Amino acid sequence: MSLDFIKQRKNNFVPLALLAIGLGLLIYNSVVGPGRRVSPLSRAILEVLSYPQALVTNSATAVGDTWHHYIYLRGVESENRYLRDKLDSLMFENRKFREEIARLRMGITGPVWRGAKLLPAKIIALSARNESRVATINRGSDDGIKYGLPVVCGAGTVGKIVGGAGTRSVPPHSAQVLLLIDPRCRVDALMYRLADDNIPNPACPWNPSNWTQTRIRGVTQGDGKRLVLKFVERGSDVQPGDMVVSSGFGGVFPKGLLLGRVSRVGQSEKGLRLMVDATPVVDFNTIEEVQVMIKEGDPIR
Amino acid sequence: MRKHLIFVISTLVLAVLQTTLVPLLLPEWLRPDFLFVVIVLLGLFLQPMTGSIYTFGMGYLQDLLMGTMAGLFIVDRLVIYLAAYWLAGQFYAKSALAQAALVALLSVLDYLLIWLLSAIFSGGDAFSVPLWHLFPRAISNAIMGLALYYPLRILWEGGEREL
Repeated sequence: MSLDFIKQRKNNFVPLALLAIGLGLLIYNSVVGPGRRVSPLSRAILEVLSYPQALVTNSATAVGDTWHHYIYLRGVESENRYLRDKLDSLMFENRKFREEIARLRMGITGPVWRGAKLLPAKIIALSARNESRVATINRGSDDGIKYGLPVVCGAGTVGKIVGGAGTRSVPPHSAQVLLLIDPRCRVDALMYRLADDNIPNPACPWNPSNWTQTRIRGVTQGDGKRLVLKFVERGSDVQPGDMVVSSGFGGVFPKGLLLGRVSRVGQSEKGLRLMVDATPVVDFNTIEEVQVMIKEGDPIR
Repeated sequence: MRKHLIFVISTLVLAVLQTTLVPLLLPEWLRPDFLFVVIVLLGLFLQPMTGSIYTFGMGYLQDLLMGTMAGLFIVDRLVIYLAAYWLAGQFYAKSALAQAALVALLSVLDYLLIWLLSAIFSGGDAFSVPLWHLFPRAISNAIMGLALYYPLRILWEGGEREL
């Protein structure tokens, strides 16, 4: 086959060759998984795009802020925001200590994440389409962020850090967060229920000292909006309203992080498992700021 | 050369808007996919060699922005581009209605293709979007196609393809 033959048919060869390369990449990546490093080109593209993304998001937020601060309710909005941020971080701290106390009462020592530090970050972009639930934050490997770190907010668990283009490599000034409701995000979970002799405190419903672990396990997987609990054995005593928290297995999410609340329990005629849906505690449509949990010993710059 | 540079920069600007302003302004079921629309329109203006090179790059960019494994959107977008090219050759695609119909039709194909590819290559974790999103999304893509048609036509005027 001469070069002229190829040149004459470049309009056929080039698309087919590119399609073959694309398919090859796809097959290679699905076989190898996320273990490899991100290519310098991908890293550069993500890095370059993170600046205009941050600029546009900050500008849009600034326009909204201008309205709220100076036209709509001068002063009240900033105070409200400050208090909300403070409440968010205090709620998280509070829950962490209560979980710690509950664990100590049960005689469990050596928590996986004692002394984890929280690094605040701002969401600067969301995934381009809603099939995938990924958010980009304005912190990267230069701030101490690594692949697999859990991301939380005051309400509960947001997701975990992933690398660019499905790899483990985090760009220096931005990072992608795989949200809990993405189908690729799975978390080993336990269910808790309010003990019969306890009255919930409406101000702080999540309190491990008055919630009892039901010993029912499952694995949460996102479906774009909700969490689906898989591998819950048929006949398990799961009820709507039960709290779903991370079990600590798997090594990504420490035990006790709040994931969601059971919203529906279905019993199929034939299956061996229960069909359980949970509503995430975090509102992924309105979330703006998150905190990345960094293990003790890892530097925060 | 200038045309190509303008096109690349415009594509990057659209990608930034897609990931920042669009999620702030529109509900998820109504969000158009700018890069998808541009790729369908490239099928009207460019010959397969140039068009598929651009489509490859834009698919790769989409993979990066979506956090998916590299290749998923490359394959999807190349198939969409080739389908747009072929369909535009079969039907009269100069009228606004025909272009809108082409974008809407290919939106449905894109949805199915992404679902299929992610089911095959993501270890069973198929991306799923509620089926009822399909229609409003196809409509918003079609409207966006009408809006982007003229700037692209001006850019590629006297371009490679005559319909």
